[in-house]
Amino acid sequence: MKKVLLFGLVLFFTSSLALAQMTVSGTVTSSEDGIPVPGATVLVKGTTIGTATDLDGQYSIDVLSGSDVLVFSFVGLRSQEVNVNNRSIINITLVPEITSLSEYVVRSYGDQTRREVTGAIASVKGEVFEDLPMQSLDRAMQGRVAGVQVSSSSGQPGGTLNVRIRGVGSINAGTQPLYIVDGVQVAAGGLSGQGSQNALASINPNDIASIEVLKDAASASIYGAQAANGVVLITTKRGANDRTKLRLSVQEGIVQPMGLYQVMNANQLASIKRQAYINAGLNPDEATEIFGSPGDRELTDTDWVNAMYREGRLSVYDLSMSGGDEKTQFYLSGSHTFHEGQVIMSDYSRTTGRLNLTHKPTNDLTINANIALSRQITNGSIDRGNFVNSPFVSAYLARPNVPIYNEDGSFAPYPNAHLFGYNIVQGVMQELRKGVSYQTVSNLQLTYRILPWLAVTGFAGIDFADNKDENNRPSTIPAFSAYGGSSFYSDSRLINTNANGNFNFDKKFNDLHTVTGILGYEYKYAIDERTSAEGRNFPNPVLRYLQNAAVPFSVGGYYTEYKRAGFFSQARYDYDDRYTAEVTLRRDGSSRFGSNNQWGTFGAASVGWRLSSEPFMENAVWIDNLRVRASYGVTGNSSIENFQSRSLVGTGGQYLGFGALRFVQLGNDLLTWEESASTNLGVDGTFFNGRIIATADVWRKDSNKLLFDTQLPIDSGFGQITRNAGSLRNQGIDLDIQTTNVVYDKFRWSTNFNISIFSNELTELYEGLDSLGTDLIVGKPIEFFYAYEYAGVNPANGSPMYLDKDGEYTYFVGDEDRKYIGSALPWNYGGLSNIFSYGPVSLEVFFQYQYGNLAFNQDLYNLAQAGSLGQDNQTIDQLNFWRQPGHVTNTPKPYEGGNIPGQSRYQQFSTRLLSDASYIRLKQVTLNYSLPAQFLKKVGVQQGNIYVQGLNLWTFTRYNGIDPEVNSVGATSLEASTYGTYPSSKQLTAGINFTF
Amino acid sequence: MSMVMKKSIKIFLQVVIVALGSCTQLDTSPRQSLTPEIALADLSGYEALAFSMYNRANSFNYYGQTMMIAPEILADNLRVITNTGRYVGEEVNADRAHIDIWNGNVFGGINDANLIIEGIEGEEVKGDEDWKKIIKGEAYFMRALFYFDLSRVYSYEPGREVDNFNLGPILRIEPTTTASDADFRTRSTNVQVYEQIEQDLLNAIDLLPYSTLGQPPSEREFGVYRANVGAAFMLLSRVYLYWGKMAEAEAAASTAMNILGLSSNGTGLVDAGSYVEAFSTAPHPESIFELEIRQVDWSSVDGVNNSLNSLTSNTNAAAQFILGASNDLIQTFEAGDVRRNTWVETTAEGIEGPVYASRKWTGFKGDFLENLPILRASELYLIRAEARYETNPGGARADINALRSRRGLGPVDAVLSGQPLLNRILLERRQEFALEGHRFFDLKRNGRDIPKHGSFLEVPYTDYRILSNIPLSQIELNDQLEQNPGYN
Repeated sequence: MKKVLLFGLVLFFTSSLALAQMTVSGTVTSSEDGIPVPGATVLVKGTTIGTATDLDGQYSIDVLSGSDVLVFSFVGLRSQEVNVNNRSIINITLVPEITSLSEYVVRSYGDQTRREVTGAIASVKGEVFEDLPMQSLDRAMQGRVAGVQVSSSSGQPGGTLNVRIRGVGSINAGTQPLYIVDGVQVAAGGLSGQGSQNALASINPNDIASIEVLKDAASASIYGAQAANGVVLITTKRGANDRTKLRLSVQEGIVQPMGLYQVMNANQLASIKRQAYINAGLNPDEATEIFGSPGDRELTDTDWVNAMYREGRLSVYDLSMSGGDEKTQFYLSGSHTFHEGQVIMSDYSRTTGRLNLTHKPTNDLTINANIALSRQITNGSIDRGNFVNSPFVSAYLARPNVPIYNEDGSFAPYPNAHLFGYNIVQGVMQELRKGVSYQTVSNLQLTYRILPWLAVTGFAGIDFADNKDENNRPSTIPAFSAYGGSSFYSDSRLINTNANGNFNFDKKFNDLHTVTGILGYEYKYAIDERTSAEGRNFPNPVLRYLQNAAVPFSVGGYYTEYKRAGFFSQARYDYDDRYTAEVTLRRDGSSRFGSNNQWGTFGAASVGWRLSSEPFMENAVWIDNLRVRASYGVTGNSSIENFQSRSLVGTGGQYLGFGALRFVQLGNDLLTWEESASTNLGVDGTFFNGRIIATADVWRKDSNKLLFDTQLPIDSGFGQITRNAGSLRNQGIDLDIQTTNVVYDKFRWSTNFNISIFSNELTELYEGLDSLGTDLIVGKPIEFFYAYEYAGVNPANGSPMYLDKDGEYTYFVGDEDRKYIGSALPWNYGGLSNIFSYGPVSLEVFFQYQYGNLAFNQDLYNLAQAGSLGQDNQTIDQLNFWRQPGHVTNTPKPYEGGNIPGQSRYQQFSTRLLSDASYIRLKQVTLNYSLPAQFLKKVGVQQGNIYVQGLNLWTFTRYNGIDPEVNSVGATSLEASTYGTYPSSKQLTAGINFTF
Repeated sequence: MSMVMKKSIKIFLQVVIVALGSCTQLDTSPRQSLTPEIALADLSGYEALAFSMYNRANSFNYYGQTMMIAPEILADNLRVITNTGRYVGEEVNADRAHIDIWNGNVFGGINDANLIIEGIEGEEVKGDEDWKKIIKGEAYFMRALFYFDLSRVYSYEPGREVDNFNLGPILRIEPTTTASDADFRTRSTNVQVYEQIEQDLLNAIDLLPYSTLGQPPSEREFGVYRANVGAAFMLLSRVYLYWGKMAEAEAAASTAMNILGLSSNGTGLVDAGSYVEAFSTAPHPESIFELEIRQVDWSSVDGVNNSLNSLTSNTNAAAQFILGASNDLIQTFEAGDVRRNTWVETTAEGIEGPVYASRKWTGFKGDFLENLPILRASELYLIRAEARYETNPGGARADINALRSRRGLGPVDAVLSGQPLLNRILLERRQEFALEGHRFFDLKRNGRDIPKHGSFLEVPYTDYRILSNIPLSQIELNDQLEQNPGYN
């Protein structure tokens, strides 16, 4: 018990404190030796009101009413719940928790638990996002953790997200953090080739106890390799030595589009097209033949967009059970989610199951096993890209004077001359796009205590995903009828294993000096394998399996692998809970690098000083806790393709039935780790009896030896080679404040606010270059827009004008006229959450925002060209086109072909299509009512809540498209596909949960 | 728990840690690729490189589409029927709407060739020596073709320079195998590049095997799907014609005709009745060099998205049919000319009057698929006629008449000479090779202004848009790379 207690000294983690109607105080002691327990948590059950015991194990807490229940907990001891019963003094004796050993000794690796840290760590507790209808844990961090920017790369239900911790640390290598679920290093990213399917969604967010984000080198460098982009630790729930609890949660709701482009109706399009033909000197009757007559009231007028979008259903069912005895504890859960998209035929379902077991056969041995299974099914849409079979492109572009259906209800043929003759409604209804993934993230861990102060741990984990994609294009769709329809199948497997062994020690001398440490070895092996086949010519469109294909059309496949090994060590010294120092050293090797450059050494050092424990601070009673810390360290990044350092001769297709080979990659044997050196200065404070809890960090991250795809002259036959070159600097401030603003009677208002301010700058290229064309410029952020400056429409003649390099008006722009316009990265972002409660009713209002980035809306590249582009329908604002000399407008005159002779084409990468993508979004509103306990008891229920909530309810932005979030991944050029992205949706749900 | 169990768990943990500790090897193998040492250890590796050159030539941004269509629409042979955004700029000769082949596909093909030429005869390369020579000959031939195309797209022909701008493409005749090989270079002059092309073709002629016209491949013979002596002579004669070396062009064309069994009266060409059908035959009976394409070369939507057949014809119901013959082209055909029959009159929504769909690119192999005849025998008559027209107009007329006799037409005016004779030769070329990627280059190499169909504005020969622009990214990357005039 002693050691547990001593360790507890440094486990002084903070929760909200509050003033309220009555104060309860007392002392928490341990049953093992009767010594007071400092740093134990005291929480008012069902709220976020809480405090921690002081060095003498004493606490004082304000409760709302005398009937509240207090929850006492401390690592290593079993939690206890006590009814206040109008008592003002409650002394509690906690008994040792059977799982104490595991929680205690494996703290530093694998299962890293909350602890006193000298690095920059932020965390989100599972309760914060419990029962929110989001599919993946990365979403849970959005707006809730300072320094973590989360944006959707697709609004598809279950789709992938883009997560960046503290800026963008690399140019070509990966920028996603390392995710570790209960010690298993999992692969983030997409699973399916048919739409966007998030590998992280395999973990049910309701199973998560907490998410910890390691932001600086001091906290992350124990993970050396890959830690350069930060580390996200996910800890799932475990059972306790307690009676068995059952929790049931049911939620139902609807999904709606957040917004849609308004496009022209048939008469409007006919009128602008007629004008375009006239302006271009063409025969306007030809326009009438295609688009109909502008004044024709009988003109077919199809609302393609309306036919494509819908209000979808959303259901989430969740059931969990937990409990255990002294030797064995368990957590068992199952969930099912069904989420229809806002677009027809698009839906997502997920089923998960989990069993977390802890067993302690002897006092010295602990066995932990976590077994999780999931199935994800994504149906429907292409999630981005300029494709005619994407609903986000073609529904807007399709001609309104063409019907969707024939009179007999069958699909009408769409004219071949436009959109490849693709009737988008028919296409989306009849084309099958389906991705099914089965995944497990599981692990086994044994910990054996060799000596009272020394333990050894063996750990093995696996992240295994099996994905099957299917794309069936039946012959009923005219575009596919020529070859009798096709079916494409692909099977892929991602196998990610990691194992580690480590020694932990923890010893205290003279009651003042504590030394802890870890020494270990880790190995990781990942395989990615895929096989695919396509067959064509099916005798009947209903048949879609390959044995029915008359023509075996094509086969494909790939295999790739990598290995990583690392030795790690960490030592930590603590003096009297006042001074802390920690050193981490890690040496990692990766198969991805040149054979002589595979190994890199990373490390960090950090110090902390708790001012509030100093005798001279004793008089400052308003300070509950005050601590400053500083850290410096270096972490590595190896997120490149697996064989990027090698010269490769790969497939060059075929000729005459013989396989062709060619140099597909020029190798660089010198390739080695990208390094990121980070400095962090932080302060943590709790003031006024917990009314204000604040954390502030100032940080700088210098990324060096970037894994840089440096360009080669294409006349060499190669476009690029990866080298270690260039440097980047990210720096900023993370601020996180929780306040309890008002406590009056039963009313309570608390606020959580976080903001991250950062800048990103390319500090060095290679070979003394100060720019790489217009892709990268030293001194600028790495993602920016370099474009023509649009100068509006000449009122005299309706031609679009630009400002040339000298700032003069011109109709014709060349390469030199492009200018640096602005950054694609926001310079600040964060979230604001307010919780209001009155007795059993609570309301949470959560905003998330980002500010200061531009975005180029590629949708408008076709949709907003003044009716000049062939048969494409246009946004309705294009009707404000230039009409006669003197007309002042921003939309040029319609001109068929979009190219007035002697002038630049209408379709330009200009500021006309760029807009400020800053936004503030009302991300979540939840109204919750806790059902009366007395009523619940009668029906055998311990606790029950009923709630309604909405997601993405309102967005304030000046962005010129639908969803600034999905377009905020920082596309800098036309090649980047922000075309036709699946926008986020609005979700409204109502739910109920019971704990038995 | 028993002591035995305790012990066994201790042992287990020790084993885990020791096993992990010993496991530091990081060997992995890229199972779907080879290292250069393994790939190029024997002849079959080099032959696979040769297949890569042909495969690249088939791509849509080269002969698979661009090189066949763009030279037609940049001039006066084609019109856009449906505005899908494609070739709309080329139709009006918009700024930078030109032919873009300054890419990794063409230069990658050159590097394939360079690797073969430098390495295949190495002693350590296992394989038959005669076979090595043939493959080396193919590499010379393909390198010549790649550089010839780069030259005619990005450079003025020697002697036809505007404002004395005489730069050709960047010349590389050694392989790039390491990053240091990929140095920044300046453009060579047009003459230097032509000299290299000439030398490559002469080398190829020494090494390559023979093929007859329209010969399909067999066990030991390439046929016309791979480089051969006749093809090399024919390309050489075309190169000389572009270069203005008329005597050499005539001689090379004559040699090619002898090799291929083409007589001065046109025997050896298909007869008039088979002209249209010949384009739906594999290989084309007049082909001396033809690229073979198979379905696996295309992704599942390439046929409808990118094939020549889909873009220019309506033979397939799902075809895009966005490009048709210009009315100007149709009007040039004399009565009885079977070449007129490669165009079928039809209508299109939004266009008054008839439009014309191709029957050259018919997708006869199914799913929009067909081969690409690159060098067709009839061109030899036209090359020789053009090479002769100033010095031997009678011979030129005879060559034209030989071709015309095979196209359902009688002889031309017996006194035709000088510019009118040249005009006639260019017209025959226009009609014979419509949609085969010659028109713009035929006008350009003769220093002619580029006429356009309908009301589109003619492009004077001195206009900067005669040459294509080198991609901006390359100009920005390589300080020594000079952009073509007018593009900045």
